[in-house]
Amino acid sequence: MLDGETMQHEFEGEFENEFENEYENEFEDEYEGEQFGGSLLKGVSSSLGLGEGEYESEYESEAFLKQARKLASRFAPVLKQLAPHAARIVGTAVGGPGFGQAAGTIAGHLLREGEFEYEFSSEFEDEYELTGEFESEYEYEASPQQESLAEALAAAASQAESEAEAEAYIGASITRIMPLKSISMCRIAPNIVKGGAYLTRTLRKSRTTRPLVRTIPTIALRTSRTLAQQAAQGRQITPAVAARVMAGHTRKVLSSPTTTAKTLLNSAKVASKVSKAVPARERVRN
Amino acid sequence: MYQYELETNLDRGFQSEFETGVGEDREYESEEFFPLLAPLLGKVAPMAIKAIGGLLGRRRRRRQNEFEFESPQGEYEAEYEGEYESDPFIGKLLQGLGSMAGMNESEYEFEQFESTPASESEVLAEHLAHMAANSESEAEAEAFIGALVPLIARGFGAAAPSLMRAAPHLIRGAARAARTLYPNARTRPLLRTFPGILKKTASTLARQANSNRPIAQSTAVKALAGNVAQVLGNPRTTAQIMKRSRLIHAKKCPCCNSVRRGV
Repeated sequence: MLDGETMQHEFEGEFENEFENEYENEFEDEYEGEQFGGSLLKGVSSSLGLGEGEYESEYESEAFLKQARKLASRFAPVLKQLAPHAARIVGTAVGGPGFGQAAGTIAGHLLREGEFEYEFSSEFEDEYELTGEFESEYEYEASPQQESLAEALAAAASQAESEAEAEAYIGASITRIMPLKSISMCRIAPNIVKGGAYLTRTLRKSRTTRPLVRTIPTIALRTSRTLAQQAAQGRQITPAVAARVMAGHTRKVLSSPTTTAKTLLNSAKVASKVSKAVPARERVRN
Repeated sequence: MYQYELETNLDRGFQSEFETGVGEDREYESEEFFPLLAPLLGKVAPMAIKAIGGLLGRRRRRRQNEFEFESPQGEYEAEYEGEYESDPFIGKLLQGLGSMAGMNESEYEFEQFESTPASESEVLAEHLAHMAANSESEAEAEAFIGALVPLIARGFGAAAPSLMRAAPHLIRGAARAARTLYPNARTRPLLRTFPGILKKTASTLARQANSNRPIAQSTAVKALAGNVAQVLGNPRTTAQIMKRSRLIHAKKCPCCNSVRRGV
């Protein structure tokens, strides 16, 4: 059985060669991190390969669809291989090696069955009808401010200089977005943080997949929402349960190019809410 | 660079003294170990402060050389090679480290802080620090340390949004300081002082936010560096915080207690 580290090395080798050259210069934006509202999110839109100000349009607009299609077609080849691998990594981190293997197998099986097969046009149109559901789900637990800060921290993680710094940002993003009101959620939070950290490491291995770090708050939020519902129904939340749920959401978000694209665009839009210019008074004080 | 320095200095200096399992947290808490803890902290505290100070030094350099182009690697190296020394605040902290060994006002504040009851978020923070101290890799440790910041900010009510605005700077600073402590097994347990350090830093910044003054990057970084100096610069304060951390974690942590009880 493979542990998390071994799987990551395998993954690194596999994706580095295959996709590195293709997008080599696309995600070069340097993260400076001087001010949360200043240069922290400087590269958010450009790292997705889209012009600045393109997120100004409404979520439901034609421009959004166009951007999502563009992004989805870019990530589609990578995601097919990435999703089961990422699910396995998350399962291993949260629940131990056994759960990781099971999560990866299930994800791989579903992919083979064609449930998440890449059929861009029709799939996107179908999914787009469910946008309302997606949005309401997203807003379920976290307040807009919590959400935007968590997304901004994830954006910082995707552009951080080092792996360790990226994981620090993701850890903060997860505890920011998770509802920690019940004991069962507090108990499982460190496992979710660990899962997020391992997923960050996996996604940052390749420049191509690095922007996908921004999907982690969505995965963490959906996971905590599912776990909170299960806890409310009286089910015990064990690391095994959390591993299965988080691996499932990882697979769900990363196996479909359209879901991934929508998550990325939504993340950039939400994170931009905290990227307002820093007041002059604050700058002078520095 | 500082990691290498830390490894070689500590390994040479403390190999014999700490042979008997100083990695266990309790060792740091007993008074008889203060004379041994003091030189260890004497090595580690300046490195942690300098690592945090690198965030201030970098800004200064950028402003000075606005139209110059440098290689990213060169820039990063310069950050750790004395650039922070140009920041007077960090310089003062480093100079003052030696005089912090005795009992002073800041320590008294920490004693008061030690006697306050632990909230749920504080218990979780202590568990995350425990996880950081026992994590498999440096990056994982930093994930747990980063996760502390929003958790601690939640406890400050109205000031929480202002604190979260400064969160990236606190996260970077705390992560850099953690990086100096993690590589050596002897200094790794000191990661358990981070909830205390961050809580005190958040308290300082919350006072500023409550008086309607915005929290600038430099303010957040300096407050963090100051509190790191207060805690790691004083063996008694370090021991007190470690003791509180261990007690809270042992008695109240829902994660570990459920495992112990087999729930």
